[in-house]
Amino acid sequence: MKPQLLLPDKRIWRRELPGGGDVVVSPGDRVQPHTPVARGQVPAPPVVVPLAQAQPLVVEGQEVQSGEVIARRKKLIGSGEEVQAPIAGKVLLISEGEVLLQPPPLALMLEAQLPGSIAAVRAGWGADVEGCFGLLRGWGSWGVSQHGILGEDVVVAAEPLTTSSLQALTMQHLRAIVAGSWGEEAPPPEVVTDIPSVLFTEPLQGRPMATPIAEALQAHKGRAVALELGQSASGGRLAFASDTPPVQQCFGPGAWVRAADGQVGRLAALGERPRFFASGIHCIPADVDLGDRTETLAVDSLEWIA
Amino acid sequence: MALAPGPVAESSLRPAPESLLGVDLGSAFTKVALFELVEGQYRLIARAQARTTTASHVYEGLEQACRQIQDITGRQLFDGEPLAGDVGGGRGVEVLSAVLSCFPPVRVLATDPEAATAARAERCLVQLLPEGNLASQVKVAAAGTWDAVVGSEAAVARALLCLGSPAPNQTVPITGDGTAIRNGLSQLAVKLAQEHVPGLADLAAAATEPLATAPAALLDLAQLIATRFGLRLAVADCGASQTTVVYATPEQGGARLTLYERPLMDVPATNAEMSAMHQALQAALGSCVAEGFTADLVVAAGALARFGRWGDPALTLLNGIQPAGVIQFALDSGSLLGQIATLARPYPDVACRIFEQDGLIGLGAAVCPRGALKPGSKALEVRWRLDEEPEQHQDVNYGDLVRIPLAPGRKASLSLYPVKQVDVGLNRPGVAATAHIDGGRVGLMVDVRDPATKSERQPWEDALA
Repeated sequence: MKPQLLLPDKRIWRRELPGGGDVVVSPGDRVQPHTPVARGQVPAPPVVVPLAQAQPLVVEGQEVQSGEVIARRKKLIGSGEEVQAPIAGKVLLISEGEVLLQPPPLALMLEAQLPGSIAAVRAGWGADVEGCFGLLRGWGSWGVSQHGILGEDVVVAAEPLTTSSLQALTMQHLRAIVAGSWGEEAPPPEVVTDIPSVLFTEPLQGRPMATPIAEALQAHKGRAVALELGQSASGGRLAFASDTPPVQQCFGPGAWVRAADGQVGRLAALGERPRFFASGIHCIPADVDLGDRTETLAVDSLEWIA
Repeated sequence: MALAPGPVAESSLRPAPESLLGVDLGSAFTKVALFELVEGQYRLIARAQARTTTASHVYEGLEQACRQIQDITGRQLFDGEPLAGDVGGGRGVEVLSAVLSCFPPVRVLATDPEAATAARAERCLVQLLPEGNLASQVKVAAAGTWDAVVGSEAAVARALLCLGSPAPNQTVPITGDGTAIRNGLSQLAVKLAQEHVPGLADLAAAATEPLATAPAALLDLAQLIATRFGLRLAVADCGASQTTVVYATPEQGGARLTLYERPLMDVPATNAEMSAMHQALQAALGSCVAEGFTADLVVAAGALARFGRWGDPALTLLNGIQPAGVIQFALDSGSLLGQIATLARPYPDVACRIFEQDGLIGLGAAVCPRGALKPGSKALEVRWRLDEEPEQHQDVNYGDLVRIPLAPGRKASLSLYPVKQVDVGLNRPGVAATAHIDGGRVGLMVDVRDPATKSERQPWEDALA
């Protein structure tokens, strides 16, 4: 079992183009967070042009220029109404009074995001950045991948986020927020627009950030941080640069754990043999120091945080 | 539990293996079971499980579980990698087959409601593309990243255009009927899992059989059992991150999966926690079945096999699935179903035998009539006869849940006499019916409760105790 927070050690941060392209670094190159490692293109989202009652003058597959007349509505008196292409692109589809236009692809520059050296290159796809990094597995996220400086454009919100705290943080034009959890029943209202990317560290709503995670992030303020979000349906992950000497992590007394109800504590003792609990479950017991009390829980219900 | 033999499907033509290792890679546990040929019969030799996380290398949990089996049996199953295909001197197994649910859900854009239903049979996050104009469709399509677009050929082509041209590399079009979509998503899920889950590609190379998703394997097993024994069989499997209900008859099969908002990692230590866990499970089960669900046998698996009293899983099935008619309930108390399911496709005979002999513990039979009456008024008369004993009877009123003791191994002839507003499962209200039922750990359950009262557990827990 791996902990949710892997303390800093020599690790790999993989950078990958979504659709392939050219890698511009070589193994052994030193890189900084903003160093380009690969170049490629990504398709731009298509644009819908409403035609209303106008008759299309283009056909599917045709290339059009920005401002080109693509449809016209005839009038009995006076000049007809024209619909112009808002962008240059290719006509993908004409359907029931709408035209779908595909703009040219967008250039994409992939940056290293973290300082280190290039450990390996995957020709046409990307590169592996090696350095001393801590890695954190998230339990949910909003938005897209980001990178920046911890405590500056990527901030830590240990308490659960609320609409008002999110609004206040959004005003600061941040790139991302690392938060414990979302603190309200409903998701943020649509009036809160242009919110930064968010990575949540806790599995349950309304929970503050687990102490060891908050402490590790606090200790690395001012260091480079990268968030990988939305790559798959998993909860996202975060890496931060560090120069802290590596520490061996093992699951046992002293380890930080999270109980099934989201409470966080330190493992005080671990049983050697399974025993029956009041519920009838037969499992190895674990004493967890939750700060104000110690509870005996089934070890299989615990999540190892750090 | 004895099952009446039904039509027998074609036998497998593969040579009979001496040893088989079934592996179920879940989100929270890796479960392993060793089966061997003992005196001409395939039997469970040992099973073990180890706690895992989706971020861990799959070999971490697998090695731990294999070591536990080695401690019990002396057979070495893991040495840097699972020892499969090459057997000798108490080392390795002939067959290693694995199913998985330890991967991020497949993100699916469905172009119509039928395609969305088919996609919900697998571990997928499904978004239905709205009907209507292009602008609304592009808005929905652009709001996410999709692993697959599913539906009819024309609708999928249009949906892909809404994503842009060329379509994103990672988006796979899957077209066809419900079965084609289900199978396509199952294969895609395994492929994506090998990319995302550390060590899964290594396991795929070491296994002797192709990897399969847990819902696909469970459906294979359910269809196999349903065909062989002429049953309408349902399996309700509550995992740490998903609940799946698969349903099969000799003619057809289907599945419905519900992903939890948060993983269910709880191993309840107190009675209150146990009750809360079953409350959550019954809600998940309810979202997997349609109203009026019925079957001959419902098998409860996964977290449903965690209970303080035998009545706990039975009540969860009654409240969650809310079945109609007369249904036998059984429990996969050894948590073996996933491992047996791995064998359903490559070794159907073996899977069938183990399922019948080692897989289940009978909970009893449930009589679940339909029809609304005044609370407290008589709903039906239940008569039952055990072997040569005199017939017994009991009136059951609307609003009641009644348990009639009927021990495991006992068989009873049942006669049901409903009042005219009540249907006992024939779709003919007021018509009497007979059935043969098996006893079990709970016995015979007669559930004439108002459906609105079934979401709460506490008032009913003592009724099945």
